[in-house]
This record gives sequence, C-alpha cells and structure tokens, in this order.
Amino acid sequence: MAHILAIDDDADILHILTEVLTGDGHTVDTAENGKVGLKLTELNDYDLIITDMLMPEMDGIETIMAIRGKSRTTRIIVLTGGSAVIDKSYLLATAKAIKANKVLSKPIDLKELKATVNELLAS
Amino acid sequence: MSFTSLMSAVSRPRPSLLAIILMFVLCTVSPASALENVTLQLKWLHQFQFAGYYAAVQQGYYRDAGLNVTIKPATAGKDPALEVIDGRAEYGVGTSSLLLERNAGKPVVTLAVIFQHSAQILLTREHSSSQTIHSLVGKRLMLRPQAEEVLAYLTKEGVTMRRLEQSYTIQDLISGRADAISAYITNEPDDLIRAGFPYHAYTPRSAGIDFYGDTLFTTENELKNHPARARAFREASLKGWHYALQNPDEIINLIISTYTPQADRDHLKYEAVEIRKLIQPDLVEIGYMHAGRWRHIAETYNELGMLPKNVNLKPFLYDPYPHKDLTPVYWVVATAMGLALLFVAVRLLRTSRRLKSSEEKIRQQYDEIRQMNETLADQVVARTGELYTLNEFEQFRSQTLELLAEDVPLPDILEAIVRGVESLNPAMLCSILLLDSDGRHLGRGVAPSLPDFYNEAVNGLEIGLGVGSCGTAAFTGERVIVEDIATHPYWAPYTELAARAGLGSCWSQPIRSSSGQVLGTFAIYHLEASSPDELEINTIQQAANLAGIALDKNRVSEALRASEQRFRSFVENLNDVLFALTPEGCFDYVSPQWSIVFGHEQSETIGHPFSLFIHPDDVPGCFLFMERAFTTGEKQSGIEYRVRCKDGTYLWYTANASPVTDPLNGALILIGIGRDISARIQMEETLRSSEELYHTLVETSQDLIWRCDTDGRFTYLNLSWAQVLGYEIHDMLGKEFSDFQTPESAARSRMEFARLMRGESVEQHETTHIGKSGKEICLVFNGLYLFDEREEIIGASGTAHDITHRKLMEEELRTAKAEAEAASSAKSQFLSNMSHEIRTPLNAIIGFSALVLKTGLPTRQHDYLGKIHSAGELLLNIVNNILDYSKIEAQHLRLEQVLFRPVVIIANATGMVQQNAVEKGLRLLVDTSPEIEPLLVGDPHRLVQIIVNLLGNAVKFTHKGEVELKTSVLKQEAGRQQLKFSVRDTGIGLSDNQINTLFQPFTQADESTTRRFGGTGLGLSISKQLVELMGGEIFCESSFGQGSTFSFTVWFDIGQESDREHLLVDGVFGPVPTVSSFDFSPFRVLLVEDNEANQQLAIELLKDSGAEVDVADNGQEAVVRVMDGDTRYDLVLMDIQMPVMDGHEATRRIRADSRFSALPIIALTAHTMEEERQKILESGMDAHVAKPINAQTLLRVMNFFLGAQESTVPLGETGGRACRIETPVPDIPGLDVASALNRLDGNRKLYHWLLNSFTEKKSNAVAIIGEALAAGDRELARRTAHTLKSSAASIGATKLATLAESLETALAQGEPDLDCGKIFDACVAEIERVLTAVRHQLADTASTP
Repeated sequence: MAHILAIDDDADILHILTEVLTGDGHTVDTAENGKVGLKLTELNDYDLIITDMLMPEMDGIETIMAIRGKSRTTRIIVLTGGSAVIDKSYLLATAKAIKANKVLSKPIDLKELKATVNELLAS
Repeated sequence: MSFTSLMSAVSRPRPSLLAIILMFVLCTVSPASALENVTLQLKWLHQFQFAGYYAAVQQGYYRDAGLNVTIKPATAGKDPALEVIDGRAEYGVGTSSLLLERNAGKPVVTLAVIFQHSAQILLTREHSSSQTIHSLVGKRLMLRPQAEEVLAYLTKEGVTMRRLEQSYTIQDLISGRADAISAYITNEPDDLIRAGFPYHAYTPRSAGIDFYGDTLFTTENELKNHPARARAFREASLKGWHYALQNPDEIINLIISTYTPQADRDHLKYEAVEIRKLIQPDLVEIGYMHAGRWRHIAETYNELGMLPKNVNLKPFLYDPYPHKDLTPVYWVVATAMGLALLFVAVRLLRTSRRLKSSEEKIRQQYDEIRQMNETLADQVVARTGELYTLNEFEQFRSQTLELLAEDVPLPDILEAIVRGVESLNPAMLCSILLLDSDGRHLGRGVAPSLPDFYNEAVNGLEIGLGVGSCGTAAFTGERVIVEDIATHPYWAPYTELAARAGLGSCWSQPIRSSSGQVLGTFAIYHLEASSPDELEINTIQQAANLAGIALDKNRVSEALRASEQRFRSFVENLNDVLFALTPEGCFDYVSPQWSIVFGHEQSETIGHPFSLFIHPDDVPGCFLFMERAFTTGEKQSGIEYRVRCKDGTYLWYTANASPVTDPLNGALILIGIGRDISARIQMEETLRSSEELYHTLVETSQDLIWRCDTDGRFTYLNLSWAQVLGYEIHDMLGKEFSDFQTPESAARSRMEFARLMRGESVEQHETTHIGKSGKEICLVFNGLYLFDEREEIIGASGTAHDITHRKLMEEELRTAKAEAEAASSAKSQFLSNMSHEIRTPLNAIIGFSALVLKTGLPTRQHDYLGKIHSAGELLLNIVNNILDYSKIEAQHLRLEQVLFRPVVIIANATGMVQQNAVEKGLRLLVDTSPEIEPLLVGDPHRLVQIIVNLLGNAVKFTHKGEVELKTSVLKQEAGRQQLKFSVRDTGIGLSDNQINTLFQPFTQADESTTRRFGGTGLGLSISKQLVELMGGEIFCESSFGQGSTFSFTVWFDIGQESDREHLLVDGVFGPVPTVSSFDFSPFRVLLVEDNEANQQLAIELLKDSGAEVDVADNGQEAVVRVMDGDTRYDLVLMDIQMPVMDGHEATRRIRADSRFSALPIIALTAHTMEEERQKILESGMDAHVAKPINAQTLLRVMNFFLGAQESTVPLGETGGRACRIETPVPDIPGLDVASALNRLDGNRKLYHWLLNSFTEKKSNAVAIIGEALAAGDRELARRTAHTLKSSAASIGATKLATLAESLETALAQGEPDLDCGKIFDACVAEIERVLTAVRHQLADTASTP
C-alpha cells in the first residue's frame, strides 16, 4: 500500500482524503500548505502527492515545481477549484504544464479520485 | 350735384339782382320803413371774429331789415353778456357759457350759433412732438373766463393744474410765468408763431368736448316785444356772415378802415382762415344749432358741476320757425328748396326779360312754376333730408378722422363715434363692443347711452350664433339686423335683459380690421322695434368702418409707441457709449451714456473733434482707425484707447465702428459703439506684475521647478536644473523628462506621469536622474496637471528637489539598522537556544539528583548529591535570570493577565526562601493585610519572581536578625487595588551612592559583594523592569549599616470567582497539594518526548501517581498511536521540538479528528516566551508546563484535566470508530445530498462528518466576512468567501456555493461595496437556512438509535 501526502489548506478536504485513502489501506500524511508539504517530502518518500493549487504560504505551482526539481517520478495529482481571481481551467492547464500527472477539479468526486489514485499507483 | 355746389351756384348771382329776387321771394319780409336802432354788443375788440356783422352793416342787410345797428366792442371791466341782459344792448355775441347765464336766471336766448366749434384751446410750450396733455399735471395754468370746455377737457383727462390769475396776455406763456394758457385758436397761435415760440395746442375736441363757439344771442324780453326785429336781425346777421366769409379780404379792409382794430392785417388774415374752419360754412348752414349738441354741452357742464342735470333748454333756444313743428333740418331743406326755386326763377327772369313780358305775365308764370314745384317740393324735401343726413354724417366722419389724426386715446374716439352717430338721430342708441384678445368673447364696450347693467351683462359673453345681434354678428362676420328683439330667436335668451333696458331693435355690424379680422361690433339700438332703411344701413357700415380704422390705427400707434419705447430704453440703458463721427473726426452724436460715464455734456461734445477727449498717445491710432473705416467703407473693430473724463482721469475703451450714409443728406458718418474695458486692462496689468514677481521667485528658487506638455516634454525649467544636473536649460527643454533618468526610474516616472495626465496629482515621487557628469542624482517630484479654460489637461507642472544626499544617509542608516537588528536577533536566538541547551542537561541533573535524594542514600552521599542538586537549581536560576533579562531587553517579555490568589503567591514566594532563612538562623516574618482581595488579575509568576528576588537578597545579605515581607493595600478603586510589597531586613544596609546604581544591570553594592555573595547582579535590575512593566514603582530606603527596605507598588485588577474557568494557568490554583495526593491510576497517558533523559524523568514522576505511561519518540508516532492504535489515551504530554514531526503538527493532526477534539494535550516546553505559548494554544494544546519539569506543577496540571473530567462523558465516546451510525440518505432542504454523497462514494459517515464540520467551522464564516467588509479588508472577506464556497459545495449546498462564489468574484473584481453587500446579505440568509437545515438533520441523526 502506498504512502500518500495530501496538501490542502482546507481541513475538510484533508479529512476526506485521509479518511478515504486510509480506508483503502494507504498511509496518508497531510500538510496545510506547500511549505509544510515540502518539508514532509524531505522526511518521507511518497508514492503519491495530492495537492491543491491555491493555498497560503506556498501555492500549488511552487510546490509542484519544487517537488519536480527533486524528483521527476513522484506522482502528483492536482485537485483544485477555481477562484474568482483565477479560473479553474487555467489552474488545471497550468498544473498540466508543470507536469502534474493528473488534474482533478473540486468539489471532490471520490470515485474519480479513487480511480485516479489507483491508476497512477498502478503505473 | 352736391348740396354744397348747389348752394354756391345759387349764391353767385350779382348782388343787385339777388337783392331784387330776395325781395321778391321772401314775401314775409315787411317792407322798408323807418329804421329801428339796435345795439350789438361784441364780446371782444374789433376783429375778424365779428366779420359777419360788419358785412351786414356794410352790405346794408340790417338797413334792409329796417335796422340801424350799432356795433359795440367789449370794454375792460364790462361783461358783454351783462350789457345785453341789463338792456344796454339788444343783441350780443356770447359762447356756450350763455347756458350758465340762463341757468343763473338771466333771460338769455340764443338766436344762432356762428362758430360750430369752440375756439378755446390750451397752449403750452412745445417740448416734443409726442407730448401729451398729461405732462401738464401739477403745472401752472391760466384759464380765461368762459373757457369751461378747456376745464372740462382737463377734468376729463384727469389733469389737475395750479390755477394762476388770468392775465389775458400770451406773453406769460412765452416768459414761462405760466405753463399753459387757455386761448383762442383764432388769435394767440398767430402771436406765438410770429414770436417764433414753439407751442403746442390742445383742443378740447380731442377729448370729445365739442362746445359751440361764438353765438348770437338776445334776451327773452327782446324776443317777446320785438319778435320780427329779432328774426330780421338774425337773418341779416347771418347774411352778413355769408358775405364776410365769401369776401374775407374786403371785410378785412373794412375792419381796418372803419373799426380801428388792434390787430394788423396779417393777423386778421390768419383769423379769417381759422374762423372759417370753426364756422364750416361749406358743411353747415350758418347759424344752425342743434338741440342735441346743446344738450351735450349742458351735460358736460353738469359733469363739471356747473349745471344741474336735465336743465330745460327749450326757453334758451330760439326757434326761428315757431309755427312749424319741424326739425331745423326742415328749415334747411326749405331754404334749399327756396334756393332751388330761386335758380329756376333766375332762368325765368332771363327768359322773361328776353321776352320783355309784363309783371303780370311773370306772376302768372311764376304761379305755374310754383305749382309745379310744390309737387316737386315733397321730393326735394325728402332728397334734401337724405343729403343733409349724409352731409352730417360726412361731417361727423371727418371729425372722427380728425380725432384719429390728433392721436386721441382709443376709448375717446370710439365714444366720439358712438356719440356722433347718436347725434345724427337722437332716437338711436349706439354701442361698440370689442372682442377680447382671444377673439371669442365680447369685451367691455363703449355704449354710454345704454344702461350700465346692460353693458355689464354683455361683457364677457361668448360669441356665437344666437348670442344677440352682436354676438352673432361677431361670430358670423355678417351684419345682423334684428328688427324686433322681443320676437327674434337670436335674442331669445336675452329678451328679459333687453326689456329691462327698454331695447326694441338692434342692428349690428361687425367691425373689421384692414386685414379683415373681426375686431368687434358696432350696433344701433332703438327703443321701439324698427327696421333700418338704406341710409341707416349705410350709417352702420360707415360707423363700423370708422371704428375699424380707429382700432387699426390704435394698434399701429401702440406698436409704434412700444417700439419707440423699447428703442429709447435700450439706448438709455446701454452701458456702452454710442457715437457718430463726421469724416473730419468731429462728434455728430453721442448717446446720453457719454455724459454719464465721462461727465462731458453732450452739448460740449457734439461738433468737437474726438481727439479732444482721447489720451494724446492714443490719438494717432484712433485717427488711423477712423480713416480706415472711411476709406474701406467697412466695419472696423477692436481699437483700444483711453477716454479722458471730465475729472481728468482716463478710462480704457474699445470701439467698433461702421461708416454709414446719412439717409437725410447723403453725408458719410461713422457710427460706433464704445465699451469700457478698464477692468480688463487693470486685470492684465495686475497679471503682468504678478507674473513678473512669480518669474523672479521661480528663477531664484533653490527648488527645481518644471513644466511639461502632455507628451512629457519639458516646456519650462528654472535655473536650478542646470546646477543640479549640469545640463544647459535650453538643452533640456523640448526633451522628455524620462530622457534624463535611469531606465528603471524612467519607467516608473512614465507611470506617474500617466496618472498626472489622468488628472491625479503626484506626490513625493522618487526618481534617479543621470547628470551630465554621469553621476546618479536622486530627485523627488511633486506635480500637478495643468488644464486650460475648457478644463482639458494641457500638461503638468511642479517642483522637484535633490535628495541624493539624504538618500545616501538613509541607505547607510538602513544598513546599520538591519545589521543591528540582525545582531540583536542573533543574540536573542542564541540566548534562547542556549537556555534550551543548558536547561535540558540541567533538567536531568536537578531531576535525577532529586530522585536519587529520595532513595535513602548514606548521609555523605546525600549531602554531596544535595549540593549538586542545589548547585543545579542555582545554575538554573542564573540561566533563567539571564534569559529574562535578554527577553526584557529584546522587549520580548510579555506579562500575563490571569487570575491568581495573592495569598497563595505570597505563601509560595516565602516558601521558596524559607529554608535558606532557617538555615541562616534568620526570622522570616510575613505580614499580609486582610484588606487584600482574595482574587486578583495579573502575572503571578513575575510577581513571585520579584518577591523571591527581594526576599532572596534580603536573606543573602542579612546575617542576623530578621527579614519581613509586608503586604498592604495602598489604594483602593472600583475594580482595582494597588498593593505595596515591602521587604525589610536588618542587614548591612546601603549607602545613597549604592542605592543610586542598585537597579542598574550587572551591578551589585560593590565589587567585593560579588566576590562575597556571588550572583549575576541582574536580580534587582530584572525586578525593576518587571515592576515597571506592571506599571508600578520599585524603590529602596536604607542607611548604611542600618538595614534596608525594598518596596514596590503594583496595581492589580480585582478578579471574580466566575472568571476562573477562563484563566487557566499552571501552578497557580488553589492550595498546593502534595505529590502523594494525586492518584491517576485508571488513566493512560501518552508521553511524546524525543529526549531519552526527559522521557525517563517524566516516566519516573508519573509512575508514582499510578498513571500508565506510553512513550512516543516523535509527533508522527504520537499521531499514529493516538489515532490508529488500539490504546485509548486519556491525556497526552507533548514535547514541542522534535524531529520528524513537532508537537504543533502532531497536535493539529490529532485535533483534526473530531474524536479527539476533547483529548487533553499538555505541552512540555523549554520555550517560555509568550509567542511560543500562544502558538501552543493555537495548535490546539490545552496547557503547557515549562521545562525543566517541576513535578508538582505537572501533576497539578494533569489533575486539573483528569480530575475535571470525572463528571463528563468519558473520552472516546463522543465519536470514533465504534460510532458507526447507519442513516438513510438524509433529505436536507436546500442541499443536494444525493450528489454530495455520490461524490463521497456513498460514504455517509464522511458526509456526516462534513456536515458537523460545516456547522462548527463555517457558522462564523459570514461573521468573519461581515467584519472584514466593515473593516475594509476585502482580501480577508474574499478568502473566507472562497473557503465557504468550497465547503458549501462539498456538502451539496449548491445555492450557497454559488452565492459565495459570486461574492468572491465581486470582491475580487472590485465591485462597489454596495453590490458586494447585497450578495453578502443573500449569503447570510442562505447560510442561515443551510445551517438550520443541517443542524436539524444532525439533531435527528443524534436521536436516532
């Protein structure tokens, strides 16, 4: 089973991810922003990272670029909603452009999420 | 052949023949016998006024009538009328005022009217051609006797004047003694004309007052006694008048040769002309008088109050034909007929003479002719009557036209028309009704003969078919003849009114303007029903025409008057001066304004060269201007010049002028208009001088002053620029401001400039320029846009100054400060780390030595170890002191505000030094005032620290005697108490010098002290700082060798028992229990600590309490143990600084699981700084215990949590894995539960958790947004809206999510507050709804088994 890091400033999302993914037998670490998330990647080797895009302190783009700077193989799922300032489609496109493996949009669809997680972990 | 020409034809025969025929025809005349002597009294001196009488004498008419007439001129002092009345003369010449004599009882009777109109007029000096009688109001008047018509005229016009005594000389008018003089139109005007005196004559006839003039009269007595003589005298006199008027020159000669008149020939000639006009022999039979006119005259007298109403005129008027009850017209007709016969007779005579027939034969033939003509007589009478009426109408018509020509007011003319027609036939009553301005209603009419109530009733009637005769006539525009009002349908609604007014018939003719517009009606009423004949129809038409002409003329003259008035007021009110110049440059005209403005009279200006009035410097220019106008023939404008005023000052003027040709004489003149521009010139002057001043200021200013156009190109720079940048000014002008800046600075400057061009101002904009030498120069700019009169921005201007030097200084300062801060921060950090690093081993030393001391060691070892323990504590104290001091210095020390019991604090503090005191054999006294409040609010730790420091010092420096802590209440106020703590000792005491330096850091009483007593020398300094931080004072009283007293005062707020639960603080509450009193035996505690020594120490401490302790090496492990392990923990002791995962993060994770929201987590930390404490609480820990761990403190704090939970629900049952509640898909109104659950893959528990989380965390989201909006923090509001959106979306609250998103969008896009507020309100409503629904659902779920 996999070691997964979830990064999101929304505690609800982190809770849902933890609940669902641990339910599937994965180990889930959580971080409230990219900065914390990056710190955790220094401590652990994660099989999969799920990250939000818009976060305080360090946002998703910076986080993904930093992760990619260290590892090209870490699987990354972007899970994000748009905001009034930044359109969701822009975020998703950006996420793709900076080599996130998959992009999912909020609100979370667990079936889709699970499927994506399984698919990526199997690859 | 007209009646007039008939008459003149008849009266042409030679006198001798005429005489024969007259004798022949006028058979009633008695044959000549002895002449009777009679006297004729004239009313004035001999002149043409009495020409007829002289002629009658001269021609022998009197003699033929058997009369020898003596003509007596008037003599001064004798009333001519009285001469007759008193019998000194049989006949006299009088005026209309004979009526008054008659009424006064004098038996005068008029025989004949010679002057058909009164010669009385009013003369004034002529002022203007348009002057009116009304200008005479209040002026001086000379009025002759028997000039009542003049008086009536003035009265009628409402003119009241001051009466002067009559002088009978026109000289008084010329000399100005009188403003108006009544006079004879036949006399005085000639004098005035000859005197060259411009006069104006007012005739009463213009006001419709038409009196008879000279009248021949006699007495009743004469008529009674000599009726034949009277008739004969009358006839002869009239005959004389006929002759005189036909041969005026002859009679003038006669007057001059026989009667020695005062007047000369020319005057008599003048008189003759005028008199002819008054007699009107061509129109009226000489001597004719009309009862109607006398009645009218009588009424005028009545109006003047000189006659009663309705005087009987009959005895006053002589009836030459008493035997026939005919109108005087008849007599005229008879005369005419006679004359007609005469004409026939002449022919007969000629024939008979030719036939040389006998007298008998002639008689015979004459009889035949007479018979023949008697049959003709009736026709002649009828025809002549008509002719006469026509004639009379013609006369009336010409009078009316005369009135029109004389500018008589319209109502008077209309009344004259009405009265004139009425005078033609007394049975007729006339009215003129004018239409209102709307043309649809009858207005107030002129109908003096109709009753007032009738006129009143007619006024304002709307015209239309069947609205009487006039209403219908005005409406249809056709004449309406109603012969019998009583039966005619047009009058049906008004029969009663007509009956009351006694009206029988009404013939109405529309009055039309020249353009054909109906203006009103002219109507003739009869008292009886009657129908008009052709003549009367003609009369109506003619009268209506006259009225139309009068109305037209009135309209024209009104318009003229208004226009003239307008023009006059325009010129007079014009501020500008109008002038006209001749080609020679002389004034031909100046408007009145000229005199008003410049003070030169028009008379001293006109005819003079304009150059006299112009400033000498401006004269050539003005001449040029004038010449140009005359030579080009075109309008010139814009010349500016100074006009000299009377007082010698000058005014600036500008003029436009156009050459025009005078239409009268064809001369070319220049018409111009001048306007005062002094104010403008003055302003220009002021502007110029202020500009000069400004220029000087700017050029000499140290500041850099600039101006540029809209492209940012310099248009002006003052001299300072050259000094600062090194470029020449002219090299910089026209270049862009950015050309002189570094690229980065230029970019920023262009942005600022763009703001300027948008109409904003720029302040303190810093730039970097590059001088000519290449040096960087920092300039700070202030600028403001410039705009023109149309408020369009045309550039910008402002100042700048050189801040290069200042910048350098600032930079240095900044660097220095950053360095200092970095150093300070490094120091702080170092100290903090040091204390941590030192305290950790100390913790072990002190803790373990304490534990070992409890194990029952041999005495010596116990003693050694005891010393190690004490040394450890001493070292800890020193470390703490240093740390405190450094914190105070770095201003990191924060005081708490918590509830504490002062008594406990005092006990604790004294307890800490108790042992030392006892060991030194000192008495430790505690005196605590009972007035101290049981609960106070403050920082108890620091309070203890201060007291212990003071007590410790006292114990340390006292060898014998006692140390006392006295606590008293210094002041008491509402809600707070000031306490004074005094520590007195009986030690060595301090000198004043020592006291002064005592509270400074690192000092002790003296150097030797340090050696003797040790210590850091920081204690008192820290105490002082702490007391001052608490807002109190610390001080020392001492005398060397006498011991000392250290005191401090502090204010504390008074606490309430109810505050206790909010103010949790370690080691403060209540009586201190002993270690053994805690029993945590049923509880399981997780100790999270990476340091093994500390682990062991804590485990040892806790083992005694009976608690079961598990250990986790780091936060991550702790999280796993708590959340995923089988063990359920009742309490967690959490270290903060740990590898892998620190205490904060671990706590947050644990707390993130709602099952563990109430799990007590106590921080163990060496970080005692305030921020650290705050952070601990923020991450969700409940309390903290400082390291090195004080066993008692730790146990007490643990007891607080574990003991306090006895009465509450045991841990782990609030949620957790055991709680698997299966619920049906909840139906929550307003929430799309199905799709939310679907997204969660049907995980109801998760959904339920989300709902819980939503109600707990998001219920305050709107409050946060609301406050943020109120505070203007749109970013916070937006962020909160953003999270609300995603939370709402995840629970399926679609509408709320949408609203939150709208709000987020609105806030992000900078929509106005109002709009955001509206969306926000909608959000509030929606979230309330969602929360209610969710809470309802959660309550249902909870109650579901």
